[in-house]
Amino acid sequence: MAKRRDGSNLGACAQVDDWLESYADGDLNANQQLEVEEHLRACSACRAELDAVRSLAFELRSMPTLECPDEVVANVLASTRTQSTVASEGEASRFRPAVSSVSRQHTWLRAAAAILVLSAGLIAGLWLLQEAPKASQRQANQTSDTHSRAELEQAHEDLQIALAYFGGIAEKAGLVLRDDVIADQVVRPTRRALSRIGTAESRQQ
Amino acid sequence: MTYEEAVAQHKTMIFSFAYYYLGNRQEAEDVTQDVLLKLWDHWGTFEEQAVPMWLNRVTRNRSFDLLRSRTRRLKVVSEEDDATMATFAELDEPSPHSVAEQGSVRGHVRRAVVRLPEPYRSAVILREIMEQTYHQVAAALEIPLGTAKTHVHRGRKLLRAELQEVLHG
Repeated sequence: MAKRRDGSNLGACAQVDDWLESYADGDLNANQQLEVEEHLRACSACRAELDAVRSLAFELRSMPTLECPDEVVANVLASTRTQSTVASEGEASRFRPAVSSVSRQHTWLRAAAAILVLSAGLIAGLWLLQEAPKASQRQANQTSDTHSRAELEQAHEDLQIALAYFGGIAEKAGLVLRDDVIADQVVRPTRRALSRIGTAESRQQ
Repeated sequence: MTYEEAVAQHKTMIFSFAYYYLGNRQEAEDVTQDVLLKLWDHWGTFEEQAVPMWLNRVTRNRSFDLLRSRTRRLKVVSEEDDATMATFAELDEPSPHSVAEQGSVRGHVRRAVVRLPEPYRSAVILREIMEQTYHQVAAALEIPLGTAKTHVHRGRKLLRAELQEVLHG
């Protein structure tokens, strides 16, 4: 077996060199550890290699962690805020659990419920819009089985309160659909309907 | 934990890994931004305690993707990169003589890490620089524990071979 100048066994040195990293980590079994230690006692070259192992470990472990530039984080947060819809403080501060599929279903159900309620409000508003001129005409005819002016005003006020309530539900329900669907398809048409009711009433006065 | 809190807690780890992996500050910033935006996209789809492991994995994969997409030789951190040298110099010992020596050895080691082939580069950075456990290394690289240890040991052996003169000097 080839030997070094100091008499150490090259084959043994190669084996120990393969084990040095594990030896430094304390991962060798008892027999392997004993073999390495016996070899190290006799081999200055391998002792030098063990020193190199430890020096390298020291240098690597001394590498500093680097601070992420503030502008990187600022860009990310600005982008996420732009993407995000308004969330309640409670929603934002609670980390959603791994059962996210259930949570997402609940969000969609709430949004769907909000749409249905708002749609009902729109339908009620449109119905009132149709009824307002008739009611006003009946009032003018002073028939006993028509809606009185007070009843019409009350209905108008009730509808406004209901729509405001529906808007609040939609806002808490989250909003994924609020901007795109609810505002364009429900809220604005309902407001127009209310406006027409108010116009019809004022004409009848 | 909110998303903003997760960003504050993990941004340093993400940026550091990407920097030591790629050896380039600008690319490390790009990777950090990509990873944090990806975290936003997936926010709420996993448990809070899984966030660090998920970030390790995504950061490593994104860094690897960027490395593969390069059309030119990997640009190592050079002595002319004043901003980077300043970063390291601030963290060295105050003695000018020791700063020069430590900076030199540390610079050699840092450059050697960037030249390590995969999968050893990821394993060494996670284990030795980011000081993660072997289990965390295995989870990040999606490999068995024994393989993670082998990769780390092999990576250190390759570094030792390349840095013979520096380490024995």
